[in-house]
Amino acid sequence: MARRSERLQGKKDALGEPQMHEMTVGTVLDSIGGLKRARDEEDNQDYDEDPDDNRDDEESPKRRRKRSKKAVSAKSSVPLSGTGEQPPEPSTKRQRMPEEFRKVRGRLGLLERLAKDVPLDVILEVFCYLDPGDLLRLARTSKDLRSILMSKSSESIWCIARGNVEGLPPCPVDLNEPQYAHLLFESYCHICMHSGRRETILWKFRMRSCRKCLWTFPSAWIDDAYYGDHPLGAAYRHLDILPRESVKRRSSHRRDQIGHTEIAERHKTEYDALETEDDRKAWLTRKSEERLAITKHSELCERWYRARLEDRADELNDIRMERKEAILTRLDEIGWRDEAEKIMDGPFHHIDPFSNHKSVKQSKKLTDHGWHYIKDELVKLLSDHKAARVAQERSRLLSSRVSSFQKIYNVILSEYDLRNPFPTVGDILVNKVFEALIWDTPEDEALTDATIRSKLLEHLPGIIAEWRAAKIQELVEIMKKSHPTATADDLHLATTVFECKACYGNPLYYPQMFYHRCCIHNRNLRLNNERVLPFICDGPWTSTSIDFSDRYSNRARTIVEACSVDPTTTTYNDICAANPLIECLTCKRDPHVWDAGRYFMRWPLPILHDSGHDLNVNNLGEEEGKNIVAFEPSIRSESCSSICCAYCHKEQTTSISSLILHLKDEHIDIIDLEEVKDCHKLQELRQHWYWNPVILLKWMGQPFRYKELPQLPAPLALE
Amino acid sequence: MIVLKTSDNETFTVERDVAERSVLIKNMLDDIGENSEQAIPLPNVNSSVLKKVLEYCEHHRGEPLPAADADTSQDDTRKRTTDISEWDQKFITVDQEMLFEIILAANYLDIKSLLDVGCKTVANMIKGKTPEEIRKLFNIVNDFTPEEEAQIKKENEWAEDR
Repeated sequence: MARRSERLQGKKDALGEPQMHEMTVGTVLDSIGGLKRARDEEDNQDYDEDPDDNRDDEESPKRRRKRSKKAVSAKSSVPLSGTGEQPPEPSTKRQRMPEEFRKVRGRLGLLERLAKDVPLDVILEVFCYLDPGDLLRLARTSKDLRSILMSKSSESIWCIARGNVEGLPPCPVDLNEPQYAHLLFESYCHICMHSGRRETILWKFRMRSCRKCLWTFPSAWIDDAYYGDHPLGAAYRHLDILPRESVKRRSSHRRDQIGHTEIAERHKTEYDALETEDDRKAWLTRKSEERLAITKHSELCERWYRARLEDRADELNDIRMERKEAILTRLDEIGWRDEAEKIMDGPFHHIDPFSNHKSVKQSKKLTDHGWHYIKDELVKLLSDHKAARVAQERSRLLSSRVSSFQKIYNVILSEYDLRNPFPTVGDILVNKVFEALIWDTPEDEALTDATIRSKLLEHLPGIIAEWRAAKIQELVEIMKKSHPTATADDLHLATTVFECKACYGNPLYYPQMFYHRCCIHNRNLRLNNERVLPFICDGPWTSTSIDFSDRYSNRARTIVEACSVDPTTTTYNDICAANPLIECLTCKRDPHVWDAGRYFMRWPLPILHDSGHDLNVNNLGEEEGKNIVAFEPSIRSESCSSICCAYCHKEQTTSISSLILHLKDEHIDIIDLEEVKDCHKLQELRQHWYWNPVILLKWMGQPFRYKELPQLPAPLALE
Repeated sequence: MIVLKTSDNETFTVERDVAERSVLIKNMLDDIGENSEQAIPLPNVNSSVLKKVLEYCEHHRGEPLPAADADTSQDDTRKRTTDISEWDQKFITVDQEMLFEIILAANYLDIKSLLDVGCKTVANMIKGKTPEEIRKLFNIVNDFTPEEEAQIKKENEWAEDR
């Protein structure tokens, strides 16, 4: 008797058996009941106390095989330990089973109890909710379940299960249900049986193959082994009855056409068995039709498979989104959601370290246990991010404040006469007043330009006076190493020259060193332990790279003495004002070369000229001197902003026209227009500008060559 | 009110419409008549399981019962979903022992909707799992030898065709 519940029995009685649908659980039950694989309670008792087990060994092999098959269906493999019952005597068959295949932990499993104790219609009810892949895997768990599911009478269950898979093409005629399920749902290579090697589904061959095993297939186009010299070979080529698959087995985009040797061989065997020509013709027609049907079905399967992959990808994505939302909800409860959202919406949302975190982007539903497991890790991620974000925001705010401060300071600086040393923005920002202004002004309070400007105007004079005295003294101390009696006044002398050790000994006159790049470069830029300094390029002025230069001082002394003035009292500006014309006799070139001529320069360029050269200072005849001065080009400089207006101190270029324009526009009340308008050389307006102390000596003008014109022959007297 | 008596001799007094979620009890009540005060014996259900079943019946009271021929008249080729409502999901979140007892009780008491919930739950436990995972989950003995196990991975014929 089939194991059927009263619930179904009653209904069956009420409705009348013949009216049941072809694929109902009842039908399946009837068919399976016929197998006698389900057992009633009496069967169970028989199993538990079956004395026949011992007799099995004495039976003939034939009978034993029959009985063992029956036993597989009729007897459960459920272990009874843990249920309070005595385990049955182990059968011979059980003794042969390897130990690892017999271990069962804990109590009797639910499925086993279902299979054993529950009416079969209930088991089938469960099976009908599965898909064919689940049935296939279920059929591989134990012999009992396999015997139920792999019985042809279970076909209806497979049909129902197949109906549970959306869009799945019907089972093709050349496959049975389990074979079809195997092709559709078993993701391992059917050749090497390995899984996880990115197998390709060869629908027309009804199999799966991994990338490696794809190379075992012959090429469908060129391989003679595939067609051979069999009489069928020509028919294969002509009628195209052998299946082919287009596969990608190389790393390139190229696809290969492959065939299946076994199918070809099977065809040959079938063909050879045919006796008449008519049979062969009919066979070929049938095979051609079958091939067409398989191709069509394969296309449907491929379409279904692609859609399934897409659906699965969407499904996983949905699960990921749900998980992320669940995590956000949990984070909300502990006050971290905002931070996570800031990461997701932040400027680097495309890398989004929160959403892409290994604990978040899993396609797994979040459970309480899972949350407790990942909670600390996520909170650490978020707290680290928060700390970094707050620091970054603070840094951005300070940077913006410093930038505004620097802009305003530069405006003020441009109005000052830089011939008096002027502190850098770094010198100002290390002052407690301004450091507090930048650092301690609350973040939610705007630091306006007006506030900064008013603070600067209030405190700057005092800071400058204090700073200047200190720095000048610092410079005097350096000078004292060479001239112990040096005072601050000596800094202005034409013979007082310093040099920078950091940039190959560039000579520096007072106050050039206060604007020299090496002395104001901010060494704290990459430090985080300072408060404001890391945000500015120009740090506080330092004399660490400055030394008094004996060599340049001696060279200057030579020139000063050649000018017939006292080197101990003559200042740099005195020589500037005297503006001596200095010729290097060594650099004079032969008149026949293209750059021939005498070499002249103005103060302070001779300081930089080769020390071994022979200089001639102001030792020219009156006429000769006039000719040379007339030949002298307007002062030029390679550096832009190299001169400053003597009245407003604004930086200018060495263009005479732009200087005149500036003087006319800005200082019309000071200058004499008549004097200015006919000037063609910058040196003619020397009283209206001065060299910008910010530039190096080498940019203060350019030497020139004077080429004496050859004496023209006297014109011939006309007869 | 209806009195139900469990296998462990415990009695439960429930309202008639709750008890009649069970087709078995409904049929019994129809047979014994309206005014009987006799306790209905349920020898296959113990008190802990009946309590759980009555919780389900109480929650679903008033909902239309499935038609008597629902089991057999439905087209089984339709797609069967394993979706379970939220309440049912929570209700059926029990250990395997209790789940098994609920399925048995639902089947015995003929409460189709509860049986469906139980079957769907078991199906959901099986879905997508490897044979080894199914074995572990349900404590199934692997009675295949390693050779047999390798063989059945290749063999997909009907038992009769082998």
